[in-house]
Amino acid sequence: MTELLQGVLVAAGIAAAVLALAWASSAALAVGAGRPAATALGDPLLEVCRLLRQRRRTTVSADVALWRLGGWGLLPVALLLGALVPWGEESLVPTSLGVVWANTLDVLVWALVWLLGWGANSVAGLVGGYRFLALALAYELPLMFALVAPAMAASSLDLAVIAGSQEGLWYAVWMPAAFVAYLLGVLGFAVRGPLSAPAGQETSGGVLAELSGPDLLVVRLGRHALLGAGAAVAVPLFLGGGSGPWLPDPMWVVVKALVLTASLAYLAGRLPVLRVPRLLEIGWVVVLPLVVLQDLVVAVVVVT
Amino acid sequence: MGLTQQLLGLATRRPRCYVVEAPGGASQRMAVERELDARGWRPAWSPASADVLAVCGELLPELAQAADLLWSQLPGPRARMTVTDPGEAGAGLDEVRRQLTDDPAQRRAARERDRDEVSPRLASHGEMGHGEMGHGEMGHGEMGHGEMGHGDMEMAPGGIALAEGAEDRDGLEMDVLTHPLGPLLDRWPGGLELRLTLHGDVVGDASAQRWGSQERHRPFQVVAWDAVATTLSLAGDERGARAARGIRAAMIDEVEVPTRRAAKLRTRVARLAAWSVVPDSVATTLLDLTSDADHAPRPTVRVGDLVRGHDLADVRLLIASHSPLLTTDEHEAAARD
Repeated sequence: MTELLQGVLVAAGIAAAVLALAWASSAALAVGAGRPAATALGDPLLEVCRLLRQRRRTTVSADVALWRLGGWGLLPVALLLGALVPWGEESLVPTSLGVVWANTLDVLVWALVWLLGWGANSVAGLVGGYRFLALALAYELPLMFALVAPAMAASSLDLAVIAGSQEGLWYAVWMPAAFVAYLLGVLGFAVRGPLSAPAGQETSGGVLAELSGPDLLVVRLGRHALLGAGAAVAVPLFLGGGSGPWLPDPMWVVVKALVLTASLAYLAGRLPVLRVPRLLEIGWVVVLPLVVLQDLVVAVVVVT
Repeated sequence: MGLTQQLLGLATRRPRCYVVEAPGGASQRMAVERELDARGWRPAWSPASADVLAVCGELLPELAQAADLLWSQLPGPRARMTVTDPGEAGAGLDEVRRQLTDDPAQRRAARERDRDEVSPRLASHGEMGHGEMGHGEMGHGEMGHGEMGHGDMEMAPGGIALAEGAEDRDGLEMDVLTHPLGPLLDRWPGGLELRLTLHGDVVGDASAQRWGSQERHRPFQVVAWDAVATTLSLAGDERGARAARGIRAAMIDEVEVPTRRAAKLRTRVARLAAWSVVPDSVATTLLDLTSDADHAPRPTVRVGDLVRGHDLADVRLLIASHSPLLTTDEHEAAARD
């Protein structure tokens, strides 16, 4: 009984942490786009109230079931990502395959965002959905190879083990290419900043064009939560997990995740949307070879 | 009651406005944009999530229908404003905010709307089917309804005409879809109506028509910086867009234009163009033109030629960055009339 209670409490804690990260992402993104910090911090609350009051709408012949599934599925994916992170000794979901699960979850986002575009039965949405698939091609492969690097160095797919094996030197420091490729992937599956073309304003919001009220709210929240949760997963992968002086381990994970989320979102806010063909070029011609080279370096270091 | 009131206050503190420009309403739109910036209200980028429909300038009777259609896409609670005098932008925004805060009235309106608008699209299908005017669907969702005069209901699920097949550029058969943009759309030249024939998301063909006349007496520099602001905003560069709006405002007020900020923005725009984030024309044509004398002859660009062969996503960026130079295909407009 006490175990169950403890589990529920931990789950609630993780949900709260992911929501806090989503808040940080939203505020930092707005500050990056040039909004005053005080306004940016208050915006999420105002928007939640505004969108909860707004009525839902549908379009003609919308595929409502799949549309809503796509929208309401993003936040659960982010929460599950949060559950994979070893905040203390181990994660809420005990698994020795954390890296694989994290990758699986981010691939799930492919389906969700595409369905979001498909379901509305609108040109803007469908174009946005297909743009996301093109974009996913650009970021996913580098992301997968980036996940290989820390796993190889730690000889484990367990996030807790990976976090524990970075004594003294964070993987982010000697695997910069993998770290950057991973963060690019996070922006990709959160559909933010330079990788937000599927929700781009030049297509009236693309996959978001027809959403209103609570449906829009959960999608926005889900995308910010995905950015935050993606950054939280980077903490055991690249930033030494909970290791650090003075503070207890879970606090360090939270602090590192917050700082990483805020910096990433700030950067995303500062940057304009890149054209999708351009991104494919960057992803495959520049980032992918660099990450493969990074994997090679890691492999050589591990063997010797 | 206290809590409800407080939540209502939070929900309506910064409403989102969907700002559209009527033909010749550019100065009103700039005034509204400036007022929004000053208040920290962020615009809505699609009618679906907007609280307010702000029509800038006076609508032609022909476009009133387009505005009504847009209005029907706002989910509600909603309010509508028409700004005919740039000086009234602030008062207008105050008024719509008051209307949004009036909860009983909003509830009443919502109930009436549920009763009347059973399905506005289907209801209006018959009467609009023959209409030669393309009452600006804005392309979201409800596109193409009824403008295919032949759209019999069997072939048109939900009143939307099915895509037809045609040869794509590579000779393979591909679905083509008629997709209208404008005449009323956010960050879009007022009254410009573009009918795109889409092959997938590539524009196979385009025809353009301009409703109403444009005011021509604004200095070209203001128009050019306005185009830069719009383009940057569409490209998701809100920081640059705000800076460009600032420079535009300084020019309108005829106060000293911050030359250093303008120069910095020029470099930024040039860099973005080099990364093909925005079309080259912003950097090369527009900003060079801004330094020219006002009376120098300027090149014009035909809308159809401009967008043909491009991605749907590029269309709005191209139109925005060329907006001061655009001409529509006159012959076609004449033929339509």
